[in-house]
Amino acid sequence: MKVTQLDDAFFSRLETLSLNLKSNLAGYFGGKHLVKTYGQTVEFADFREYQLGDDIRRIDWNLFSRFEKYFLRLFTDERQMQVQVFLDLSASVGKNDEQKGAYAIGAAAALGFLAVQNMDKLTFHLMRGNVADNPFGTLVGKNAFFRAMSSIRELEFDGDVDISACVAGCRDTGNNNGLTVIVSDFLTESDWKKAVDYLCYKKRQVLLLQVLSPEELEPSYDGRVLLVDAEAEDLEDPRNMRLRINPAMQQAYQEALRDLREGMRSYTAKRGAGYISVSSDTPIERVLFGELLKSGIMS
Amino acid sequence: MMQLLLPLGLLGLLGVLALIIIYVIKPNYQTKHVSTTYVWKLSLKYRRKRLPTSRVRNIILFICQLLILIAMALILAQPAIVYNNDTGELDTVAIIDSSASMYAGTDGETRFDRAVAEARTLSEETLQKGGNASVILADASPTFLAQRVTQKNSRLLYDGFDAIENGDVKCSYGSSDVNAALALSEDVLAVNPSAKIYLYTDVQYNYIPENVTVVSVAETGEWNAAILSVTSELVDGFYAVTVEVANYGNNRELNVELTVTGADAQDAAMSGRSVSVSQSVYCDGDTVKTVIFCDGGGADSEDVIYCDLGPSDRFYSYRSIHVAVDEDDSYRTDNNFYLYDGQKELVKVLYASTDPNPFFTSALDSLKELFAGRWQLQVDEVPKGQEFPQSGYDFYVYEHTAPDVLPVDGAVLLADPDRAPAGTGLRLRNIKATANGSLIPCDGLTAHPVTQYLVPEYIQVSRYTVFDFDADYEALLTVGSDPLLLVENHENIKIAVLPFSVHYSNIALQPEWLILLYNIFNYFLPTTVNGTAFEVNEDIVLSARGPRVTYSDTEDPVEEFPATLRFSTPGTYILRQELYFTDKEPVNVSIFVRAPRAESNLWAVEDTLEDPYKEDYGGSSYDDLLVYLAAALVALLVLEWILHSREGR
Repeated sequence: MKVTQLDDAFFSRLETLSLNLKSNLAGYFGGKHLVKTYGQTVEFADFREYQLGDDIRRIDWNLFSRFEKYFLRLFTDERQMQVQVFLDLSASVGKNDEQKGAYAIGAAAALGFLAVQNMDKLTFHLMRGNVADNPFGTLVGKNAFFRAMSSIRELEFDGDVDISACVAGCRDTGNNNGLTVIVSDFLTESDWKKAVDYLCYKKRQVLLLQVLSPEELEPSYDGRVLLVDAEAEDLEDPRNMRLRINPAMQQAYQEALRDLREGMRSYTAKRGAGYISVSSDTPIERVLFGELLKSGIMS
Repeated sequence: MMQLLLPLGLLGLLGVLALIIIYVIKPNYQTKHVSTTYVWKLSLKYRRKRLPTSRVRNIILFICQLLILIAMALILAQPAIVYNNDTGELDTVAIIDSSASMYAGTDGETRFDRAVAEARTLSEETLQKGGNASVILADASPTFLAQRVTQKNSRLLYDGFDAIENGDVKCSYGSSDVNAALALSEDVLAVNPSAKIYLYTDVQYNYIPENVTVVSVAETGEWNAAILSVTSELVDGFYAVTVEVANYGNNRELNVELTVTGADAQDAAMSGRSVSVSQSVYCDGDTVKTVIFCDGGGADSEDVIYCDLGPSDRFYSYRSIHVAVDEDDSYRTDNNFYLYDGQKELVKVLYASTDPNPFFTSALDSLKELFAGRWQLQVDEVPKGQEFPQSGYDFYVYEHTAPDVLPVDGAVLLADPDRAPAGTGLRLRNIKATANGSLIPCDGLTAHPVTQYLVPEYIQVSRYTVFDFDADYEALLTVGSDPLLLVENHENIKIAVLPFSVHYSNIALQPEWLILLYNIFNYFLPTTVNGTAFEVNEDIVLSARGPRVTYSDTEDPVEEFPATLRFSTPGTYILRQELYFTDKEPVNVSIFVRAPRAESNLWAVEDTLEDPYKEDYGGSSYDDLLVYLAAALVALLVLEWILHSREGR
């Protein structure tokens, strides 16, 4: 699949943005994210009474002159985070609807760019079946990112995906060290909630980015229709449906979709995860500058 | 009991089978490739919540469609509740032709007598068999002599026949409306469609309806010599009398006798002389021969025979003409014919003018020609400078002048009067004239017999006299609010006023001039009757020149006009018209009423008899159920439409 929007102009517009991760993450040394742990930066964090073994250079002498006690001045620490992007490569995302697939890839790439821009580690996990491949390894720096981008444009969508199996089966999900983004349409029988629970257990910051096509949001067809699922193997596949679509059916569809999205929003909110549902006809920039800014994941 | 009048219509029920097949097979599904059907599967759960309502609606919809197809099939099959009307009773309807030709007969027995006797026999046989007998007398307005009489009330039937035999009910001298009689018999057919209809007549029909039996009451050997028509015409100053004569039933030489009374009399008071001539004519093949009695004769042809009256018998006026064929034929009613239009009533017209002009004199001359068929118009013109007569005329025309007091013995036309005569209700106001003598058209016209066929715009004046007038006058033509034609017609006051001179108007150059004078004459002096020869039962319109008209055969005068008279017996009738002008003698008009010409043909053949309507279907009647089914169908269609429209909700 060709993703035409991943060009230099697109990435240059993202340079003013950065990911805003939780401050209680551990991460790695050498990054740009301020964390709650104390470190060697110049940004004041707190005072603490002197204890044996502390570096006497950190004693605040002004406080000693007032209280005749030794206090140390503490500073915040900056850490490098690991951003993992799980991209759903199932047929439902991009086999029949290239725009939707391209949109999912574009959104994943945009988030990845923000990560490498902040000197974070980035890994793309491409989910197929029950397995999440990491074909590009850990990407640090823009050069590595753009090398990966040259390959990610050619991704093909096929088969179905078990998100929870892919996430749980990932060998390097990390622990309290960064952000995990799952880009999918989440229109799957598999239980994606386990994946969220697993990541939360790993103290990862989680963001679910749901990409839906306009036709999925507002089906325009009606009458007697044989709906052939993109993930179906043949016409006899039980995923295919014969339906007589009428206004009542369309209303039921809207109610089902609304409840599905509300359920995802509610589930993720309870676990401190983020959830954004976007239409593939919405420009990615609008999602980044709008939805992600509103959710606080970006600043 | 409900029956299907067209059982094949039930083939429409195949539509039910088709509907079921359609529901079973269902139409092909349109294939649509989607990313995932996951949400649709979820939506099914939402639909299932409403499934009970939806399923009930679908079932009702299916039942509705089923019922619609059944209703349509039933409509095709024409269901009806059939009542068996065949009462099993014997019903006969005897229609007796009561036309004038039924007077024909031999040895003193007429066809009508035979018809009555046969109808009586039929009725008696019917009653003896316990049936119902009906008798219809078919004259111009057929009526039941007896309707569905049974043995119990047979007196009604016999009273009817007795009335005929006693002469209280007679055969008519007019035509009969047999089809109306057949229509009347439908009253019996409505009760018993198997009733048998018998028509006793002398007419032969080419087509006879199935349930009608025509019984001919004519007898071989009956024949009729007939005078069919007589007309007279002035040719070169002398009358030529044209007689149409025919003989029906055999071929023979007829002797046509012409008798003229009051020949060459100057007026009604003179007796004149009598003229009697005869001409034999051979009539064969039921063809009509024409005999012309005239001065000088002519060349005979196969169907036209001339009879030269010669100098001794020719005549230029007559009181009456009697034409007869003295034959002992079977039908005597048409053996005589009278003509009474030989002496026209004298109508005297006075034209008095201070400046006589040809417009009036030529118009009056034209009227003389126009009215030649009804009046002998005598126009007297008063020489210039002489005193105007005040009496002795039927119509006075005063121009540019007016007498101090109007005559009381005739109608008056005041043309451009220079004064308002006393007692007329007119008051002279002033004279109006247009600038430079330009003509202005009339702009108002009241619909009236005097103004019929007039176009007001064509009548233009440049100078006229304005009169004030009483309410008895009608202003029929106006210029602005000023009258240009006033008329009063109240018993013996008959005045028309034209308050302008023909010299200041274009009217005398327009056709309207003669039309106006003609209308005024016609309005003030209407003809009592138009014609002197009529047929039995023909409408004769009476117009009034006076308060009443009396006529022979009755003592009741006619006092409301126009009236319509109808005579049912042939013969001569004298209409006596009293005039409003008291010093004038009543006018007597003789007319001849004859039997219809068509009745003279004793062996007439007509094309067809109308088929009387009767309920069919094996002697049964039925109530149509289509209306109820159609109503049910409409209701089902509406219900089906509502269910369809709510299907998506």
